[in-house]
Amino acid sequence: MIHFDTTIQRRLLALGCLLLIMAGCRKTTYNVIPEAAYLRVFNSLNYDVDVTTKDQPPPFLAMIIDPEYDAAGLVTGGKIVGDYLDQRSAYAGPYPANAGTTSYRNTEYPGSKKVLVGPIINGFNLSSWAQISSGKHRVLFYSRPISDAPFFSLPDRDRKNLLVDSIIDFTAGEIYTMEVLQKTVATQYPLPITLYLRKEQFTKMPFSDTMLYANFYNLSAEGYAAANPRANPSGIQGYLNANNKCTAFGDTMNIYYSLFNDDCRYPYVDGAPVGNTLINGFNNLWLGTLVRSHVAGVAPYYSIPMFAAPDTTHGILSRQWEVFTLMQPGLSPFPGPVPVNAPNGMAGANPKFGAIGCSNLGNDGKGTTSPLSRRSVPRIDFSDLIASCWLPNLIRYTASGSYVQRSFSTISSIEIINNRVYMMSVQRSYPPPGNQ
Amino acid sequence: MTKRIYTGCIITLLLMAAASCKKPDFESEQQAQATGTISDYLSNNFDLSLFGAAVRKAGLMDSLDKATASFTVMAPTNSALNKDSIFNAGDFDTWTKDSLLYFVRTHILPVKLFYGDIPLSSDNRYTNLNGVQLYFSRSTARNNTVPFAVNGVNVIRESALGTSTSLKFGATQLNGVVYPLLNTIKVYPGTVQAFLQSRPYFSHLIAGLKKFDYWERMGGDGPFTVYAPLDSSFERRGMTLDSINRMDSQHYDPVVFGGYFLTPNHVFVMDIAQLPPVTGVLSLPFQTASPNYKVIMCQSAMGSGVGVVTAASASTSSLVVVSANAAYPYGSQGTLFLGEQPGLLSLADMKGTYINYTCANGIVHVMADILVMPGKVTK
Repeated sequence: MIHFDTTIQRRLLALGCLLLIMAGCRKTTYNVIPEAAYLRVFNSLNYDVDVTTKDQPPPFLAMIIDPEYDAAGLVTGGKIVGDYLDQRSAYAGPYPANAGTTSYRNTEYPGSKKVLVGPIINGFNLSSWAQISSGKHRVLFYSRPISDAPFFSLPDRDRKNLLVDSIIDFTAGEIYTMEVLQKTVATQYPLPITLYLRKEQFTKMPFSDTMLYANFYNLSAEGYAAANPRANPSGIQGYLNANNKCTAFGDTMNIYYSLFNDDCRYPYVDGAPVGNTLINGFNNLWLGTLVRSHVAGVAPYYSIPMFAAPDTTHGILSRQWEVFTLMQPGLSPFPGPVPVNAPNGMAGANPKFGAIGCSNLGNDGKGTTSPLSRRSVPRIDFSDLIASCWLPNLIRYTASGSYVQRSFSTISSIEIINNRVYMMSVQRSYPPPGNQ
Repeated sequence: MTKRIYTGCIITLLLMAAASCKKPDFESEQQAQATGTISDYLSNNFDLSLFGAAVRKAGLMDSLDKATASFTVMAPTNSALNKDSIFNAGDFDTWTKDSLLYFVRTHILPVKLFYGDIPLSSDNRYTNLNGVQLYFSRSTARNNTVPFAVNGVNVIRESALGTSTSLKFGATQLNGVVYPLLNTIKVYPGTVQAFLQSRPYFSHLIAGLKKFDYWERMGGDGPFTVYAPLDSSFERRGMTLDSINRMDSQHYDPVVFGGYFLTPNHVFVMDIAQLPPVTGVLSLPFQTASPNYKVIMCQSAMGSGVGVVTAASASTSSLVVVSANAAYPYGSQGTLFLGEQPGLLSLADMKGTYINYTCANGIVHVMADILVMPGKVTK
């Protein structure tokens, strides 16, 4: 027995030693940002890079927060670096869609960056917002060449195109959306740039799960509509790709909405038809007035009903889609699907009027490219277009419970920036898919 | 006995644990690489013999032979130098030693610059041996029409081995890279103003720019893109020095000479092929100094030339051409660059002899005819 005991003791000792050796190799440190604020950044410089603008700094940015400099005054590092910040995509969805991308080009910050992100607050998943320590931070944006070389390994001269230098005080627990915008129309380069910061309120507001919510911003450069008064020179052809490109919207516009039946399925398939019949009683309802401004502040959220589907899915899959018509004060929309009497309907959009269609036809903001898809674009009498630019439907379609697809309402911000429209959506959490 | 076994086991385990921390340092064999220098390459390549002769005459052959040095040589082929009236090595004798040295140094960078290291964008600047920045532009537009250009000059693509569709540029040597060029790079160290003044055949253009108060600004910050017709072109259209000086600036829109330059733009001809308009857009017009007129360069109606058009506005949607060839068919209405042929299929086919003079504050293109017919731009 004595012999047996010592053997066990020795074995235990040996095991203990082994465990100690193994444990000694493991170092676990948890990154914690105390008193964090939440930050999401978009590069909204959307001027086309073409031959007439090639002497402008490319709209491809590096964000440096709390920079460090060398003796010569050259930036050499920063506490937070958001490199490769590309022009934003039309749609920033309610889930971190960019987290797994393999491209070095990042259409938002944090996007594909591996940083600590926000938690779920009041049901809203903030994983598209990065954590940042609260307090005062110096925020810099540099224009950089489009290449996969990291900003700090670029030659010195490519690290000097400073666009924005600002100090921002972040409050703990608040949610911030930051954008780099063109300030005014100019013919001299570089264009005047401004930084825009919005303290989001959606986690503090009561929202119903059965209503769609949208608010609107016109963040265009000052004077953009006056400098671009024309309709799309390509006419109807310019709108057959159902993307977020449009003509300028006027500086002060009334917003109306209409609801339509029979959106195509999600995801979009080339050529799938989009219905052009109105939901009775939901034609050109006035929502409010939109004024072009770079002043920070949350615009009012408008509520729009989301109807249960009158079909065999037992009301699970709503197939309505929405059109927001913007008109100069003084113009009022005609009743019917096409609210203007202009050649080709909304294909004649100009700063006086325009319409944003929100449908699965928008193909998650990508638009469509194939010739077949042109027959999807909804119109009346073959040629009168119903909308002049396209964003995704305000309804998200996703697997939930035992359903392959189910409709969920979103809370969306629609931003008009020069000749593009953008959508940023957030969504309350929904039941996960089940195995049935 | 068992104690010894266990002690032995523990020691062995400890040793194994310690051994697992060892980081062996393997040194790889030296890679296979080129065996010749840039000097050898230039001396032995029949297509580059004229540029090789220029390098030798300028006394730079020894520098390019140092195996440990780093250079990038943009080498104009013999046919490129033939366009500049250099047909044999003896033709360089008519140049002064300084201008030959400047010419050769223009084409050499003191770094090893591989094609893959150049960012995929326009106008990446690299300093040459003269201390002047050259513009390296890469583009994948229109299925690689002009993938790589230096100061608006096409770099010749190397043939890739096998069925590879990847682009290959440059011949790698021990001490750098050689890129063969279709044209010589023309760099003038002064401003566009000084360039125009240094050539006697631009006196009519200078007189017109002075008359409409554009001349002074051409010595300042740019960038400028100047379309410069010769005096003979003005004379052929009935515009003499005397008649230009007598022009009534109240009678003509300032585009009559404001249409000969763009600012702030510096546009090489290859830029149009590298940054084409997106599908569905016919042309990208440049704004001239006069708000009512725009310049369209090498696009749509202008073919491979340059034309001035009335600006589209809320009142006019059509672009009316006011250039010399306005009555020609669509695709030929632009004024051609000097020495170029009409009806080219691709801008890459241009000879490039008289275009893309890079100056300190812009670019000068020499034109075969005038750009604005004064009779069409009266107020």
